[in-house]
Amino acid sequence: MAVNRDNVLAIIEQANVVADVSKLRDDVRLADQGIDSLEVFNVLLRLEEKYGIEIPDADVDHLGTIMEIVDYLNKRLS
Amino acid sequence: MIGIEAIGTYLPAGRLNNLERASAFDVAPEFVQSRTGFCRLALKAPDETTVSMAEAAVRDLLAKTGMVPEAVEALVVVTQNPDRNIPHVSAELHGHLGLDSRCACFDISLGCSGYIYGLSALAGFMAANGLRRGILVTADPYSKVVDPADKNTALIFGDAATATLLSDSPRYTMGGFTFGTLGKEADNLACNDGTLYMNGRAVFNFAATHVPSDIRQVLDKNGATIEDVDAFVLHPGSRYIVETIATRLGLPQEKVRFSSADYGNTVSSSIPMVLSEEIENRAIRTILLSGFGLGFSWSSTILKRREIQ
Repeated sequence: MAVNRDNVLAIIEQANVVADVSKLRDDVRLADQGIDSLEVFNVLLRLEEKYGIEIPDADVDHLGTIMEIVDYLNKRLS
Repeated sequence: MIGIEAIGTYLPAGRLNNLERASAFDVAPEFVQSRTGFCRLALKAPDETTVSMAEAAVRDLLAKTGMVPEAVEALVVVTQNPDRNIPHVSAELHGHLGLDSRCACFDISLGCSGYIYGLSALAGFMAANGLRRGILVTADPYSKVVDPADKNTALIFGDAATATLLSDSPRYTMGGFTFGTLGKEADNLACNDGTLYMNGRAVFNFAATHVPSDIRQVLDKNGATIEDVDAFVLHPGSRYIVETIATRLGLPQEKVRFSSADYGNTVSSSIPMVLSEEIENRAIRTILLSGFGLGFSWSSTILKRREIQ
């Protein structure tokens, strides 16, 4: 089953890095929406655990927005 | 039963103010306060050495306990930043302190897990050889290897030394230990050509995944539950790492210690620095210690306050 934005928002909510995930925009970098570098590590780790994949450091620079994460996960899991 | 009787400490007077330095790294002061948690870093003076810091910690211990140097039967130093490679730091320290010639001395090369490994190693050595008093020293001044311009490490590490007296008249006894190593990840936190390198994400992932399961294991090994523990002293790699581990385990916030904001992550000294305060509080009867870091290496144990008749 394809990963969608709600799946990613649920992970961000579990990571407890923002007060209200519903206010996050899909196309704006998480770093520009108040999520700092350590919190991004936390989100990425939870994604790895949820989907059973390893996200290499080299891929992290391309995972700035929610939609980039959704697209990446769908490619990795297909 | 060999256990912990007292802890001496040494913090250099020098400080680096991370709240002032943060902007140079394009980091907000709020990030320093809430994420790394280290507002200031202890910094040794240029003429201070690993041996001189270790000596200061031992002298603090001797002053606290009234013990004479001649009574020390074993001296172990945990460090990876000796002043020179040969001889071992513990031998030099032995000479500075004027210890008895029959005192056993050896070093242990470990980082942030080194204190816990050291407790087990020295206690086991003492028990095996019928020794009554041994001192475990930690002295690993990272200012020797941190690049002041490296954003990943320059706001983290501070200098300190500690000295723990293990004896057969302990205030705290030690329970079962757990140990582990993930050597394939060791390159993520290493000193290359004299300069420390750290992959912060790899360290975070390691701490957030392996340490909670190790803490569950050490609780099981000692027949204890989270509710039985009065204080969790987890190695302060950063405030965020400690909070993440605590969240994943569901630890009550008030039981989790983070008190190194004024001096930084002091590697193998970080746990005994906090412990030296905790053991003065008689209400704290059960303490869980967990050290983890470079190697990637980890170790945990549980201390129990001894009932004095």
